[in-house]
Amino acid sequence: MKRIKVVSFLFSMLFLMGCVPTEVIDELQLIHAAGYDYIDGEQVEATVSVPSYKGANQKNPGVIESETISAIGNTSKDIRSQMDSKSPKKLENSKLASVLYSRKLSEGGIFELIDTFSRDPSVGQRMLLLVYEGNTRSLLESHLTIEPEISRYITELVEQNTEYTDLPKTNIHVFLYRYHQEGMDPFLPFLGMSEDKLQVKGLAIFKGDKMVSTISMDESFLFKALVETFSTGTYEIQLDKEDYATFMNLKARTKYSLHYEVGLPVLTAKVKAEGALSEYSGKTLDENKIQEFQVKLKEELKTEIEQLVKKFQELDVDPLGLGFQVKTRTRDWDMDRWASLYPDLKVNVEVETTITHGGISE
Amino acid sequence: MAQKQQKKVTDLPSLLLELGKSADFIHETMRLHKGKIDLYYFKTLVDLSLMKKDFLPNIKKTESPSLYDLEMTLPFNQVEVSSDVQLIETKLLQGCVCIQTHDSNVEAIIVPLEDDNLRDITVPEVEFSVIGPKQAFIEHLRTNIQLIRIRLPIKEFKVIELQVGTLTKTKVALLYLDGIADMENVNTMKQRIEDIDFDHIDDSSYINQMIEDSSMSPFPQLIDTERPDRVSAVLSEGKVAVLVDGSPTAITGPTTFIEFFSAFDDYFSRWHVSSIIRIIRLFAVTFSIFATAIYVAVLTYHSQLIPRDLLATLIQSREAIPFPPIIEAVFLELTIELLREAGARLPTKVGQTIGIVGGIVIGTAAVEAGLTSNILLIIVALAALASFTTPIYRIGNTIRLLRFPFLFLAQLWGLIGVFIGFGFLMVHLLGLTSLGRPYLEPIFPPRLADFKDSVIRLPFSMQNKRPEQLRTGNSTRFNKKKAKAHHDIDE
Amino acid sequence: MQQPIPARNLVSPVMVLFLINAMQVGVGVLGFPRYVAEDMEYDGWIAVIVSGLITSVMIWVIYDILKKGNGDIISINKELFGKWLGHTLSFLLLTYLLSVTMVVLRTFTEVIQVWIFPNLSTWAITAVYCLLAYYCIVKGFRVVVGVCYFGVLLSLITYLSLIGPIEFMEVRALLPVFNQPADTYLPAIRTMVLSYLGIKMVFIFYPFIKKPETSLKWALLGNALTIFMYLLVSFAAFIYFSPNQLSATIWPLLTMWQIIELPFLERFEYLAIPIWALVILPNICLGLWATSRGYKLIFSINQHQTLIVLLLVIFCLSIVFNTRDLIDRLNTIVSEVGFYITYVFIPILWIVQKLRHKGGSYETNQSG
Repeated sequence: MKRIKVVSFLFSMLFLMGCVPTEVIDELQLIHAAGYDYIDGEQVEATVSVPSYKGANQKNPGVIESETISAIGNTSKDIRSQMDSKSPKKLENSKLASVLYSRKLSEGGIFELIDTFSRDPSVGQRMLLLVYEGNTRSLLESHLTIEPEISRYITELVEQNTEYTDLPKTNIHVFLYRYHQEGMDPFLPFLGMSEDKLQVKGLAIFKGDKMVSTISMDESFLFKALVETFSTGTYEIQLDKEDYATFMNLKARTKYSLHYEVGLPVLTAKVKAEGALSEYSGKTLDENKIQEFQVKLKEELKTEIEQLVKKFQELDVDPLGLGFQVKTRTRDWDMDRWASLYPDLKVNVEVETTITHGGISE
Repeated sequence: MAQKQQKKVTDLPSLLLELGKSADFIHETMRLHKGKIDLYYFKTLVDLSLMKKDFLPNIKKTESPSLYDLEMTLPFNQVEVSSDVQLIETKLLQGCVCIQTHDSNVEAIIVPLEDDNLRDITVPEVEFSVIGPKQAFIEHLRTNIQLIRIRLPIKEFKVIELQVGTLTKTKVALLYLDGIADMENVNTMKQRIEDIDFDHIDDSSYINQMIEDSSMSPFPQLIDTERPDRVSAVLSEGKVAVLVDGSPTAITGPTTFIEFFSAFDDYFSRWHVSSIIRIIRLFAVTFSIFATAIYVAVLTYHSQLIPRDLLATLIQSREAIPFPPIIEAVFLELTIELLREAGARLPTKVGQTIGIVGGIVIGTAAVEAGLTSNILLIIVALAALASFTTPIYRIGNTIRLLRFPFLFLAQLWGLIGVFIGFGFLMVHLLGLTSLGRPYLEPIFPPRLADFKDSVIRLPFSMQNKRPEQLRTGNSTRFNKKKAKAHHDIDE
Repeated sequence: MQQPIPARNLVSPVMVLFLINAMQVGVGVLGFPRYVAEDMEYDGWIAVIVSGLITSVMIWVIYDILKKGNGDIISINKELFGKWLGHTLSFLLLTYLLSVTMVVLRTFTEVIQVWIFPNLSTWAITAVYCLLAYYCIVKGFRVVVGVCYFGVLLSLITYLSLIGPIEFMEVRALLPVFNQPADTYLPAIRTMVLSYLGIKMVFIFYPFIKKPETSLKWALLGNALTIFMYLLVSFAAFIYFSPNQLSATIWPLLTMWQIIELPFLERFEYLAIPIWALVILPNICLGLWATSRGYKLIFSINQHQTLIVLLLVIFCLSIVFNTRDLIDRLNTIVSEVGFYITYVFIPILWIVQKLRHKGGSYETNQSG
């Protein structure tokens, strides 16, 4: 009997004093997207987009619209407390899906802003980091026609492009991995407006945490082929003015190898591309024509990849991770020596192409 | 058994005098050709028609009214002459007729003429099955044993008869197969039944609760069944069964936790089907215990967990509701319990109406009034439904009861609370035993061989061994090597 | 000699696998890749294997001691070092076991506080674990073993969970292998050995095993399972994180879980941490069981009351250790002590026992 009393006393103590503050989902203001803009050297403006379920009830889901809260400050803590003072419900990071940084801000370095998120356990590792060419506040405040909730729109846009087109896989983890890895520089998707539609315009290339350049969506295809294995690429090729074709479901992967020429490392990138010819402007598509396309594809890929690598070397950035490829093939690798070697590194590109079939009609 | 009689009657006349105080005790004096005899009996206990048809004509035919002549002539079994007052008293109270001649007032003949007054053997209602035998136990011990003996016509089938209840004098039969059942189990069971000290035993469930290993646990540790086929099946597995006079359910043991989720049907359908159904049942039970608790935990603390696409639906369903999830959940759970209880108390037809009225009308109204969210309503209703899939009625109740502590733990500490609760449940189940055998077997202690008939049911050709759990005297059911002949293709 | 344990309280030799594995896998697995990588960068997996093998040898040594001594550590110590010294050594060993329990509990509390409930008070979690451990231990050793068994089964989700981060893994990062200078090996192995320290529990539960001599292979298998799990986790962490990223991650396994997204579950770690609450339960139950039993044997006192006192001690101490810094210091000290106990005390014990037994047999030969 005494034991029961003691145990029930302990349990009631737990129930009375062991409580933690509740966070019921409908009493939270779940941030779905956030944007950061440049104000001056010290201050940034942060804008968060939260969904509003106006007029919604169980019978009638209603339309979810997004609302924004903005604040200007020096530190994220400062910004957060300002935002809290503007919000009727508790702001929560746990559903944050995408964070946008304006181009101007990115060029000045964004690691500190990203680090805040990486320290917050409630933020997932799949959160998207993006660079936007204009003012992120006006983007988050705008009402786009297709999807009223802006954050969902952005997320789906980027996810769709990663899965089916030429955008490499990206999220906060990939950024941090590349940021911290020796011989590798990070990149982020680069968004912009074309007329009234949001568009993925390519990739923003970083040196450390500072954005230095962008590459276009076409280059992004080559970029993707060089950094990961994928099978959903599309590539258009033109023989002459009227004679062009599109390759669909282009499978591409790259194998690197390293050898030394007069004491200097030479990296060879062997790109294998395999795809189906799906759209052809001409009338008949025979063996010869296919052969012709194959040769053309090979040449074009080779020159374009070489140009891309050259471009990165000139900018002294290494988003392709060539340094990493060398590092993992070298004993006692030295980062500083590598940094001096990189701009003049010789990179051989070999392309191998296969065209599997020519669509459904002969 | 301890006999706690207020007054011990030691001689026959005073016994008869004592019994005569009851209005239904009859004393008749019959004149025969030579002399007289006295008949004593309870008119409420003896079969009066049998008495008129067979008993009285035979008595009248008797030449001399001597006890031994009567014993020889009466065409009944178990007619005996006795001078044991205790015995005569017991027999009279069981429905025998006592005959006394005038040459002795110490001795009497006891003629069993009890009125059996049987109910028909009916279809099992609690453990109904579509296929398979359609017999259920009734309230008569002899018939029940008969039902089993028909199924096990072997000499190894043994019955031990015991008596419990100082007032009810209930007959209890302990059944086992000699050479197969572990005698330790038989003795444990026998010992525990003999140790029962209670005045009134109405049903086997009284005994069930009194002989369980731990009466503090919400989990039943012995299976009760109303199916004679189930009893004979578990007997041949090596278990022990108990039948109680006046109760249409048998108790079997030792059992395991998993066994509570195996319906007897499972042996009638194909093994693939029954294996999957068993797994579904176990899943249903898990769902039933944890579903509402997880809903409360996730909505109250873990917004991170909810998939993005589901989030909007959840938030919208809760937008108009003024209560926190826990109040909502407890309200709905209690409503479901009320419906079940009301349905169980009312006659079948009205009970169905209650189900419909309660389920549909109250549910819809609660959602429309904005008291609960429709998603929770779905979860609670599914959880309730899932708890009814348990084949053994008793464990279903336990499962429903278990939901509430988990609900409160979920409110206290979210998923951490739920899993801590699961820890307590796990430790509790690990500590339980059934007749001294581990309750969680074959999961713990892990016995791979016993999985063949627990979570899944493998084909009969693989059930060649009796469960290790039971430590049977003869563990082989059939010789697998003999049974399995190898054939090559098309030969 | 003590009284023999009644047969119905014995467990089968297979259970040693679960006892060993459950004792080794705990909060350590959430964080160890960072420590190995600190010493040896991405060749750390070599240290994982080597220290695992060293542990296997230690298990063999422990079994050898127990087989000869035929009893638990308390009776062996008493036999070899005399009553006072022997009991003192046993007492220190038990106190060490208790502090391991304490560290595990306190570290996991911190995980919960950082990850899920920042406002949850330490004493509340400790109190709940104490209640749970009490409930478990009073039901006897079989139940403690059962808890270990389920703990091991639950810890298997780790293997499944490692499939999730594969998408973002860079296998090349492990290359080139054996790139680290030889002098980094020792510190790395020393660090890693600490993750295998649970084996000392065998000293106490040995008499509770049916035919304990036969359980050596199960103990080694349990250890092998731990090596395998550590190896997989460290591989995964090395190819998922870049070196500098890993050194900034306190609990790599938890962070890896963050990327797992299931259709019905967006964030896996919020489910995995509660599951881990049960994975560390065996550590606490077994630790407290062993300590209370040991104290009972040393001081001839009631195990039930000892247990209650120990629970109170743990409860109070966990409130005292309230800062990150203190926890880290406690952790380091306990690991340090554990290291010396396993790799200094046990070999000495073994040698002393060897000498004694030789001497003993020598004497009998002479007299005979």
